[in-house]
Amino acid sequence: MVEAMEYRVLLKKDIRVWVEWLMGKGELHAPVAKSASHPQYQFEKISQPDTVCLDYATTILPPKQCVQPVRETLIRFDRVANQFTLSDQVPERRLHIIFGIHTCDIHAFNFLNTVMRDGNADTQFLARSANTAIIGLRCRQHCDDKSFCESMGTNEPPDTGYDILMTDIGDRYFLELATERAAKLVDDLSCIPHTGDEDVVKWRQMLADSKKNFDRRLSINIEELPAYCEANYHSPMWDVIGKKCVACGSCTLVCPTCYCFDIRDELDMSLQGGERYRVWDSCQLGEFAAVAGGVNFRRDRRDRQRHRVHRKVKYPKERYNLFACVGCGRCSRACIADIQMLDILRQLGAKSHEFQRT
Amino acid sequence: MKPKVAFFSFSSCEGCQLQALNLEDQLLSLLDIIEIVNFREAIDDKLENYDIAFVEGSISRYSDIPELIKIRNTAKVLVAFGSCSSQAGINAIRNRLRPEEANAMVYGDRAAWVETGHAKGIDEFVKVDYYLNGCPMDRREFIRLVKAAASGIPFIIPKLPVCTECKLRGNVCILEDRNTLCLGAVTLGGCNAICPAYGHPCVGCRGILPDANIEGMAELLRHHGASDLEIEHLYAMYNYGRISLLTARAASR
Ligand code: SF4
Ligand code: SF4
Ligand code: SF4
Ligand code: SF4
Ligand code: SF4
Repeated sequence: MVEAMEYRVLLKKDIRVWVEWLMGKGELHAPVAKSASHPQYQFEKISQPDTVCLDYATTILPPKQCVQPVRETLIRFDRVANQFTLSDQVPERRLHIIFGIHTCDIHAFNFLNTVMRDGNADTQFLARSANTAIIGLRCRQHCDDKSFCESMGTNEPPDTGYDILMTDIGDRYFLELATERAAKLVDDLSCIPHTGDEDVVKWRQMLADSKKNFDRRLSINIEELPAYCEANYHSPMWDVIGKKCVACGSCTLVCPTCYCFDIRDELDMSLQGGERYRVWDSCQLGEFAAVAGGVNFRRDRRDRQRHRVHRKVKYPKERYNLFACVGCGRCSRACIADIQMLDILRQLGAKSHEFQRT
Repeated sequence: MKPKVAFFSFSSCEGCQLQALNLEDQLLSLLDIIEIVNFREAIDDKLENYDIAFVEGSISRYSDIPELIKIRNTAKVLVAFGSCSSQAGINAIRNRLRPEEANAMVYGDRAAWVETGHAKGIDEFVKVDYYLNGCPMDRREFIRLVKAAASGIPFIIPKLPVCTECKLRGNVCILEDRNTLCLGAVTLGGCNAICPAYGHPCVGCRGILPDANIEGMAELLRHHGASDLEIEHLYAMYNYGRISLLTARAASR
């Protein structure tokens, strides 16, 4: 574990004070409850401090839209003058603060930052990411039966990628301040004092207890996943999945590490000019791999599902030594056809053992 | 020169034309780039010469056909306007019965007075350049199409399902949350998932996607508690024509 720069505590009853104060420092995004019938949450821009809900199972959409909006203008063009202008490469925007993000989502942001820096850097994404403060929350158990963060090692925070980490230690939150920016986010607020010895003891106890709460859900060697993918390339499991999948695209749209987008043009009413913008896309949709001339590289749902899984646990592992699956379980929760990531990974592992035995 | 635009209506509720009129503030800026020459809902004068024809409604009478062909031969761009026109839409519910049965049900002993039969989408008779799907059609798409046609560039509707837009809006999925039977996964999006966003299921008014997994969808609806009859009714509301073709194709495989 990386030592924090400084420790503080905050009584739970004072969270509202801090949230309200943070709203003055930047645009605050935090989880709010969305459904009365059973727990569903969403990261939203907070305008009422009371709506923030820190005791949440994971959110429907990941917090990535705070950094990469669903729709973003790339260039403005003028058809008459035959010119175009790039939209701001480094968007001027207020500090954004993502509040109460789980550790798996912090890992996912680190992954996105790695990919966006690679090759042709996505400067707009990186600029927004740099001016986004991350106030994370250590989890004390799996969100629900779909999560498997412990198996992917993401129930523990990464070494970097956050400013502050909170831990629920009963009547108060224990805060680990990890960056220079973190100090500015608590300032000398009287409700966030330095820790006493007792708080530190309680916090260490809580960390130890939490560890025990997380059961191992994927009992395969995840380091071998790229090889398992290879071995199962022609496995009939993909046919079964392809038959069930209805290509709704949800599994990728809710994934915190997916980043594919489509580019479209929109003319102004005057027809003189317009804008080119990008919008989130999904590799599960029939048109995604279609190219000019009516060729489609992945016409079958089976192939598209296999591609998705390889994009999570094979290719990025080979290229960056990182998994693009952080085990958050959102894809499994969103899938109306009940296709479960945990099942897929288990099957990949199990079937590969069979291959090895015979 | 501004392209001349005409609106025509066959078997329909004329709701799509009303939707165009509902544009209000944007209607005036639209008139800067097009000239409307035939629009029964709004103007009386008619011109027999036009570039873009918006054809609303299904074809349900033999006498409709020559009229439709005339429109096709006159217009440079022909647009199927709304789901009645694009896929026979809600009108195709009657196609489950023989024409005389349905007519007797509706018109009783005066059934012989009216000429009406099975409802068909207009592309069963003429080539359609663009489709504006939906019941009613989507106003933003209508504007996009007018802009594209007026500047001579192709109009494209991304073939995304309703679920995509539903997810991107951050909606709670009503199928998962409340077992409300929703066709969003197999229906062409573009409406910004307006129905699920307000707690109503998608009933497929924009048409089933061409490569939709119909069998998989039926299977998962059953898992969410739907009976076969409910599934059939759900599909039949706007997609009777499409689905009967699809199931026939599946059976022949
Ligand atoms: S693949 Fe699924 S479980 Fe893995 S990070 Fe993406 S949404 Fe979460
Ligand atoms: S969420 Fe499920 S049904 Fe939808 S594309 Fe993904 S795997 Fe297929
Ligand atoms: S598509 Fe719907 S709104 Fe449009 S004409 Fe037909 S029934 Fe009316
Ligand atoms: S509510 Fe309907 S459209 Fe929305 S995600 Fe669920 S199934 Fe798809
Ligand atoms: S959600 Fe479905 S029923 Fe509603 S407007 Fe869109 S396509 Fe039509």
